[in-house]
Amino acid sequence: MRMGCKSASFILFLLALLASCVRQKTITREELASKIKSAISVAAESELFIRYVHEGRSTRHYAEEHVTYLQQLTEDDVKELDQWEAEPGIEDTMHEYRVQLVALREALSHVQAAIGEDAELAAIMHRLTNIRGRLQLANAGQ
Amino acid sequence: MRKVLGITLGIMTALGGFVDLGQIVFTMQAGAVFGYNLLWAIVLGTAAIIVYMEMCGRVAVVSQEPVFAVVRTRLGFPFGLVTLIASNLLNMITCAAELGGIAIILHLLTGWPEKLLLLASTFLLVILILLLKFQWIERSFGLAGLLMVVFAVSAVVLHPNWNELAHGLLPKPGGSDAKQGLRYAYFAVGIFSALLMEYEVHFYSSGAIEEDWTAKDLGENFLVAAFGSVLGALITMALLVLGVLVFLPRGIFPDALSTTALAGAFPFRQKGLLLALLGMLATLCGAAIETGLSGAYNVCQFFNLAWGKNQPPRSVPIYTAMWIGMFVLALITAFIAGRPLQLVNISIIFGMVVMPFTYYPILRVAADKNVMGKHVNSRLDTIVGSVFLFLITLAAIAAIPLMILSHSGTP
Repeated sequence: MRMGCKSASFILFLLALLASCVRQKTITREELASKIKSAISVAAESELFIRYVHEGRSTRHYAEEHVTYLQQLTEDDVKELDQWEAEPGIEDTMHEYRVQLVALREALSHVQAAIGEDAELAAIMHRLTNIRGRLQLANAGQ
Repeated sequence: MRKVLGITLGIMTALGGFVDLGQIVFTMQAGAVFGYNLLWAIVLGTAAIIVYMEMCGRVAVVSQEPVFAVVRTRLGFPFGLVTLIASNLLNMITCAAELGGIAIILHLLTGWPEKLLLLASTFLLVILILLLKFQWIERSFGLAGLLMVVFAVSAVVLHPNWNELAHGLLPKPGGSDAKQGLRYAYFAVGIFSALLMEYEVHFYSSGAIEEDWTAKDLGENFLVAAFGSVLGALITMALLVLGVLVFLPRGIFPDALSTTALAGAFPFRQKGLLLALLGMLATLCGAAIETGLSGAYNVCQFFNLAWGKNQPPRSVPIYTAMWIGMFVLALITAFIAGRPLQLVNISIIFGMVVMPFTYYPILRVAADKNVMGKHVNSRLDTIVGSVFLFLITLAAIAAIPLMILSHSGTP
């Protein structure tokens, strides 16, 4: 019986440990600012890259594969978002970050198909500029 | 002609050592965040590696003892063995990162699947090493690495502010607040460390013996070490300058290898982009070969076993099995880890921790008149070497805390 109690306590301890791992992490104001800066950086890089492609200075393979890397970076951040909850006071900024990050992912997903199509690339670039602006506003408003 | 081509050992050592995957991304990040302010770390690291590369070349030639034979005799077997294990672990991790980087570049060039390219390029590198003599390995990859000059040309064409650039060459404290100060220190230590990666001296001293250098070649030893290192340093500076000119004004923190190629080709059209990618491919291949071969050199030299790339593989079976084993382990690591940049960041920072145990024995032997005879360190050599060893030790102590406190330098 004594052993049974010990085993039960141990299992409870393991369950508590597991639960604490599964639970969402709380993101602080500073961590959120860092994440937003990274997203601004990816948006700015995407604009620069699309301009480069738009001017016909990139090879086809480089253009297609580099945008895949940018998409992957954004995709990883979107996935990470699901594990977080904002600390009190930054919920609105967190919401805006989430919206813009998803918009960034969406915009990048159209780049590959738009390579060689000037009007479409220009439209994506315009969207990216808007996303970057909104992220900068969100960061400044923290 | 032989003497002119001998310079390629210095070029390959320095380009493969300085301008590897980690340094390319890390240095551009430093420029993108701190402008020209960290150029001094490149100057300091270059001076340190020239001093130690010359010293270990001289020790190898005079005492016929390359780095890890010296480590065993001066640190003793148990402590030397720990250093050997740590160094080879870092060599393997760095090799894995470089192989991953090679696959990325080939993927950007061809569009073929990255994993397939990882496997194929590793296999091809192993075949090339098996087939080529040491001199041809160093000449091919040393000279091909010169394509990285396209980064320097880009940096000049984009008109850097020469006045600010010159100010950046002088050490100064940086960072607007405590957090930025920590990031600044992290990047300074990282750049300094990346320039002094141990595998450079492992490879260089072993190369001196592979090339049958004698005491007569000691005059050229300094020139080879200095020329290769200065060239590597200039390209490293160009990477930082491109970070300042292309990324800083746009608020971009370059976090992918493919992004850095864009900076290298920024003022040019498609041919510039191809040259930038091919230059990166050559230096990454050079770094992978340096780290892979260094792993085998280290083990054989430490246990006093026969070694040499110019020997028939059957007469140096352990050496041959070791370097092939290094590539196999690195390939497996690259497959499992997936992200080469994370691997190389680990190797840079943890490499710093091991560094004093590599450089201290070299300094001791080079200053030992009984071993070196008339080629012993001058008093100035020893003082300069000691000052750099002090800085290396300081950076070794600070490396891991800075990595943790600055969150690996992320924004």
